[in-house]
Amino acid sequence: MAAALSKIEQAKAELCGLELAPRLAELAAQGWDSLDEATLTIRLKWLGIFFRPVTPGRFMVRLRLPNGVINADQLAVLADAVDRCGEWGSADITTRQNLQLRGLLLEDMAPLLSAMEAVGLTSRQSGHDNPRNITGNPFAGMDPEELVDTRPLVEAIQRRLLAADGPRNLPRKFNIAVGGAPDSFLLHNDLAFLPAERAGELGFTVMVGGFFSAQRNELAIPLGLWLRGEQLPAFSLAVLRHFERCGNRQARNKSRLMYLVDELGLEGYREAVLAEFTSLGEEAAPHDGQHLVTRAPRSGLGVQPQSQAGLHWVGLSVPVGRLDAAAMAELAAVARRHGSGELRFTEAQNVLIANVPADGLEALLAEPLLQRLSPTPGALMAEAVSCTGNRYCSFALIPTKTTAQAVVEELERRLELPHAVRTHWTGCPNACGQPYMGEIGLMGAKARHEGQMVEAVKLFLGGDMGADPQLAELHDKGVPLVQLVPVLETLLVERFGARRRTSVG
Amino acid sequence: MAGSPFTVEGGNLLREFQPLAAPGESDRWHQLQALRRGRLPVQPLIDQLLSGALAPQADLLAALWGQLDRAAVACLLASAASADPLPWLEAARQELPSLAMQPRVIDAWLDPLLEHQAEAAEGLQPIWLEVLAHFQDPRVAQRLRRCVLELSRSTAAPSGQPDAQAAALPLLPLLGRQRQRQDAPLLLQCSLDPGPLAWRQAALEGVALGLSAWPLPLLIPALQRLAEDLSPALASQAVDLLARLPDGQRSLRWLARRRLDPAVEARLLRRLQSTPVVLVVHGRQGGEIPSVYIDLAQQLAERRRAPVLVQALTAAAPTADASFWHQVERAGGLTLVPLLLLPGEHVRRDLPALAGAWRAAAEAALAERGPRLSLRRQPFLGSWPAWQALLVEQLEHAAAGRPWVWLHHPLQGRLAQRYLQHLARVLGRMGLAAPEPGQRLALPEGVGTTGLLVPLALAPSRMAESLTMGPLAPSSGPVLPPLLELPGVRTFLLDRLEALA
Repeated sequence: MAAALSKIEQAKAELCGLELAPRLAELAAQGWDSLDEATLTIRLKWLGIFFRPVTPGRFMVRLRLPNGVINADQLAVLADAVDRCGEWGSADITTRQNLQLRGLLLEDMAPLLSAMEAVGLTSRQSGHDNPRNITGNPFAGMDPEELVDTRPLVEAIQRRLLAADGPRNLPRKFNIAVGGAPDSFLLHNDLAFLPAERAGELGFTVMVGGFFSAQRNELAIPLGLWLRGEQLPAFSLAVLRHFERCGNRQARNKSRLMYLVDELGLEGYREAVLAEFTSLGEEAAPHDGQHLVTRAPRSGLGVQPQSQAGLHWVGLSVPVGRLDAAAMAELAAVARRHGSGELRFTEAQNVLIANVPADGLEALLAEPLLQRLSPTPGALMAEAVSCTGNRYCSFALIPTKTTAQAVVEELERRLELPHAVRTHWTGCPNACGQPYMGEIGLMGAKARHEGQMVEAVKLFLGGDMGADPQLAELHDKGVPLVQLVPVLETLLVERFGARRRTSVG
Repeated sequence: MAGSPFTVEGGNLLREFQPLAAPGESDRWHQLQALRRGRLPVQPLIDQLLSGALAPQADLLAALWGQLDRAAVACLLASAASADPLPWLEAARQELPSLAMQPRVIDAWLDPLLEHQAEAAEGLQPIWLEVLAHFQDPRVAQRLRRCVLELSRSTAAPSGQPDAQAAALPLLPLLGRQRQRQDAPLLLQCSLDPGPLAWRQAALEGVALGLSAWPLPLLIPALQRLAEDLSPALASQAVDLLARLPDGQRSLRWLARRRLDPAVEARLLRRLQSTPVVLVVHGRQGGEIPSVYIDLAQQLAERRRAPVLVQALTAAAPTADASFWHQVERAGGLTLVPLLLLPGEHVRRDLPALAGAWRAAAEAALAERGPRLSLRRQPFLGSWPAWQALLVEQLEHAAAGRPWVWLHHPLQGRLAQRYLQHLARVLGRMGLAAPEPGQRLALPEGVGTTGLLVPLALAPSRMAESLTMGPLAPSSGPVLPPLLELPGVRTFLLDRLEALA
């Protein structure tokens, strides 16, 4: 007898959330309180609309920005949507080069989705059990160190997966990424394509099974297959069709791709995926898994020469990835004024303004916006990555973004660092802020301090995204937030070569 | 299953009960997640809460919300575990927004909580009311309404209850979420009446969270009043809410005539949707559009924050993309502006056909959405009284005391002749029809070789060029550049066109 479907599987099987799109205005008129739980908390996510229990009635929209590329007109539309939400409105750059807008009413959804469509944006299938935003080299197409331009590949994969016959009911979420430079660290994805050579031809080696969760953390492993760029969309579809059919639907905490790889064995999994791939009329070549990714990601901040003579991108630090409406609108205007209007989001939650001519740099660097979004941030702020935190997420145990910003600012006031240090802040064991990837990882927790239970963090150290990738390991299981600055200060001095500033009293 | 941590209950595999880790211990978060998902037995925890062996911590209560039946809820609420309502409130805030619409949760909690709240000590009742208010129910709405009403009256009194009111702030959004139409007057009144800003803001958030439930005849005037409030925070949110209402653009346009706080006015301008504009121009041979029109359209689009297309009468209609039609839909229409100076054949015959074509295109592009669209057709530019007044001013200024004469394309028909006579009266002199090919221009006496020739054309045209070059050019008189190259004309047009709805 087949096992009974879980509540989530039942909701997905009954109605695909995409079917709700034409009814959004009607649902808003009914009021969100009158929606059934499955529609409110599950199905709407197929349209990229997220009910937020911490701010009931104020929704979030998560977009899809393939390769993190966005243009000024698109950003202006999103800025307008956030602006309408007044003090409730904000937008977060995510660790998947994506953007999520907060503070929206359900009444905003139909007009917003329509406005997004008009400028070529979508939020479709950006949440829940779907293939999430596909990431690529943030400098693609303008990177002097580029091996492959990932933009057309990422767009082609998205187009294939979101087509009418694409997967709509996966057992769990699914992350895909395409590498295009020597610093494309992507092993935290379920499916990663890393640039690799085979018989002198540049293509991609396939890595599978990377993910972080409360139960288990894994880096992707080589599947032993090599593909040409044009094969990536079909191969992604083959992997997802197989996952859709064979993935674990009984236990959600054991349903990410790596569990399926475990169940079938790497050989068995490869055979099964190849059979699916062959049914699409394609063939993959065997490969030893060696690839051309050799070092940790660049920040891309500051003025950087592009591969096109005379052009530069300017990387701006967005403190903990949070933008307000005014900053978004101004970013769009600045990108139009000084560049081609194109912008990129990075996995480190920062933004790049692309295609700035050399003679426009001075004017760009003088823009007032750069007082807020600095091209030359401190060594900690440059690479401080943070999840949403308990202001918007009910799982989080601490306010990660505000804590991260305050702690980093204080540490930079006290210390001089010889190089950037990547800190990853996450509010709970679900690890959305990827604490295991940080040189210092911080995870929200509770700890006893002076007889009281207080907000705290677990500290992880040693995450490495270089040639020999390592996940960070637990260093301290409970540092109260009130003690965090001195604890980190000592760590940075002892292990990261920081020097105390003499002028700080 | 000896030695196994699992047991079978009702066909489900459950993990054996393990003592709950103390707050701060690593395992607790994982245990509570398992409890929340129904993977841990509940009864031992209830027993420990009832006996006092386990403290009713908020994280534990939150994990239990979705797992209890009515009997267990009644027992817990009747026990010492409910003596302090604060952990219950914290748990409710965290968990109930996504659980309170589940029939099983409503069945387990609503009636016991209604009873418990009514019987609680007076000082604790508001806290339990907030817990209760997460459930959408007419009985809950009634209690919320009564409480908010009492507190709002007390603020009006000189000896109000500021502490009670501050503690009750969360009740206002929760009252809005009840979406009972009868609560619109109360919430709007609380937003409008003088009182603590936090109280008024909480009431307005209640209005926002139930927005589509409120009767528009009550809502729109109240929000328009609020938009003029002394508090920019309240006024700004009122503007944003008005913009979300059906036909909200009309309400916003009414506000645009009022005196507002500068920040609120800026917000209003951001919310006002301008219609896309099609500028109809004469164009040149082969459909070429002079660059002055393209520049004008670009500047105008930036000012209006809406698309502007230029359509030459000598060419096919420009392509309107998805973004153009989207803005048409948002603003409820599109505006056709004939930048034509004379009522010639184009104005009389071509414009009606062109307007019909745009109407048909709009219907085709937006047919599925069924919006109410209007095609706003402006009169041709030459007929605007303000334009005629500007011409007088600009031409007198350009002539700087010299004699001058204006020239126009040859026109046929009575209407055209009447217009030329009217313009001659306005400009204080008769105009000259530009000569036909092969003819020389005969200037009136007094203009001579130093008088200014004014071709009546916005952009470079054959007529103007024939005056400055070729065999037909008059001996030496200076020729005024195309009118759009005059800064005053350009500014006038940008200002007037920007102001169009």
